Amino acid sequence: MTADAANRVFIVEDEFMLVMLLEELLPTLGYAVAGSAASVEQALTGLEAGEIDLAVVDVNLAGNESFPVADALRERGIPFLFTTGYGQQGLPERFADAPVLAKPYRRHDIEAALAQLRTAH
Amino acid sequence: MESSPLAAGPGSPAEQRVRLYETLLQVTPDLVYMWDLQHRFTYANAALLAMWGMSWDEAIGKNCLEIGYEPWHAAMHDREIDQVVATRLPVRGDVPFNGTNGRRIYDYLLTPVIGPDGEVEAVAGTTRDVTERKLHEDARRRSEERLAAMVDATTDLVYRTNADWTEVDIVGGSLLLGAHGTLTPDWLEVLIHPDDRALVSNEMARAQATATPFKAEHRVRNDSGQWSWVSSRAVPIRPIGGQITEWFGAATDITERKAHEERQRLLLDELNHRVKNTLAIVQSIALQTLKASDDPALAYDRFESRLHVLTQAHDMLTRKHWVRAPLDEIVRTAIAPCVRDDGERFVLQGFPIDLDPQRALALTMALHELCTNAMRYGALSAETGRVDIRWTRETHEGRDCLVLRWEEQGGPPVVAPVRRGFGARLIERGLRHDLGGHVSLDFLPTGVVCEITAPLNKEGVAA
Repeated sequence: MTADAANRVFIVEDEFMLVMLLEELLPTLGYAVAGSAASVEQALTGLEAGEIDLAVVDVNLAGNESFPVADALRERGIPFLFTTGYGQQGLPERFADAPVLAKPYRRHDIEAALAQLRTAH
Repeated sequence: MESSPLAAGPGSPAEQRVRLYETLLQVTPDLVYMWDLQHRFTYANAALLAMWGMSWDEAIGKNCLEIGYEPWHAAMHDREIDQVVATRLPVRGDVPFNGTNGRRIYDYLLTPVIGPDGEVEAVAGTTRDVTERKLHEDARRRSEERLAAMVDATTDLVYRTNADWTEVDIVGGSLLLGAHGTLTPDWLEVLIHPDDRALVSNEMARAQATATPFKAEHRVRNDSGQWSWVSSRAVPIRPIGGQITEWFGAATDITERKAHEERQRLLLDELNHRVKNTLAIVQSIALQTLKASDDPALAYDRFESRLHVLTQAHDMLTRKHWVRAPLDEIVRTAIAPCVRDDGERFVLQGFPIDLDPQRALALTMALHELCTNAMRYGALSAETGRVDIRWTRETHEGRDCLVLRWEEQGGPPVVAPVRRGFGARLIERGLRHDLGGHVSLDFLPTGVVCEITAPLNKEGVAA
């Protein structure tokens, strides 16, 4: 994996420990961290400001669903994947085809999922 | 002698009729008798004589009392005979009697016999043993009373339907659907939840086709217009070998149970989410801890200690039902592994305030990192060292804020680390992320000082 274009990943995750995990993992997989957000509000602000190629979005942000963030990403044509402690269930119809990573995920799970996002795009 | 159909004599029709009557009276199981106006028996058929256990000669000419009837019984018939004579109308009644057949119940009919002069000349009676019928009637009445009592007593909704369920009557029990009575023919559309209609009508079709009990759990619109869950069961009634004529059923209100099941399901989902999240946190701690050290034994010790404080934080939050936790307890949980018997090394001072679970967890982990650092390099590594932890409510930029200050004193001179480790990053960035405020971590020569400023809302600490 090269650090060329389309490798900046935005992290939407309310649990800072998991932000730290991704911050550690992503550079080892050839990605750069484009920023992180802990809430829908922060994420929407982050999207406005940042240069983002891909996004990893936790479904549940301190009890709130992150779907408005996913909608905004889709609007901008930024590929994203969901992470969740719940199963695949609970996602609205419109995200039925969105990739979902179940927590806790392994290093190669997120590697494969991000690679998939890039090629599919 | 001239022979004529109208003439009297042994061969005449009149004589034949007498023989017919006599024969029938002798063979009938009913008791047949006649009293004269002095209340003496002038006739008793074979069945009556057998019941008395007397012969014709012993019985005829005697009144009831003389036959051996109880005085009250004899007196009753005396009155009745007088009444029939006076009114020229029949009297009917039933009475128990101890005869040769044991105690039986008799239904009797007394009627006047009118003589050629138009006057009552005697009173005739016919009596039938109705013991079996009476017993059967009593049993049935008792059974019906019990069934009615059961329907009244049950909290279930009791209903009956016709063979194809087009007519449904609420016959008793619960007032879930309001007053008892017949439902309108469109009950399926009006009363059954749209999502359950197919289920109910399929089950009705299946039950009818197989003549087996109807069983369904479904929602029904109750008297106050809300949906109630019921568990409904009905059995077919059909004559032996015949077609089903009707169904009887009962519906139990299971709304509470359904709500409980739903809560259980949500709770399990939430638990699953929390466990998965916690495992991911453990994964993150493992990665950060292993990466930071080349010494596996030291790395393991640190990992274990971080896992321990995470566990303690979970326990503390569980005691608070994962709603919110007092800051005081959060601090105590975080420093507990570093508190020794002397207990004088920490000074805690602050106002009562609660944090939500996620922020409580983040702060516990962060304070634990400060503690570990203080034990290894800072104030807690020296006998004289101590840590002040004070929190106050202050206004910053017009916002109500929580300010928590960690201040080490009396330790060896502090040398700022070359590189920010996991603990420092967790404190500086993690707290900012989770508490939404400002965090400063200063390695002053006199001791480490960490100041956390987080905006407050009414509930606790806002993001």
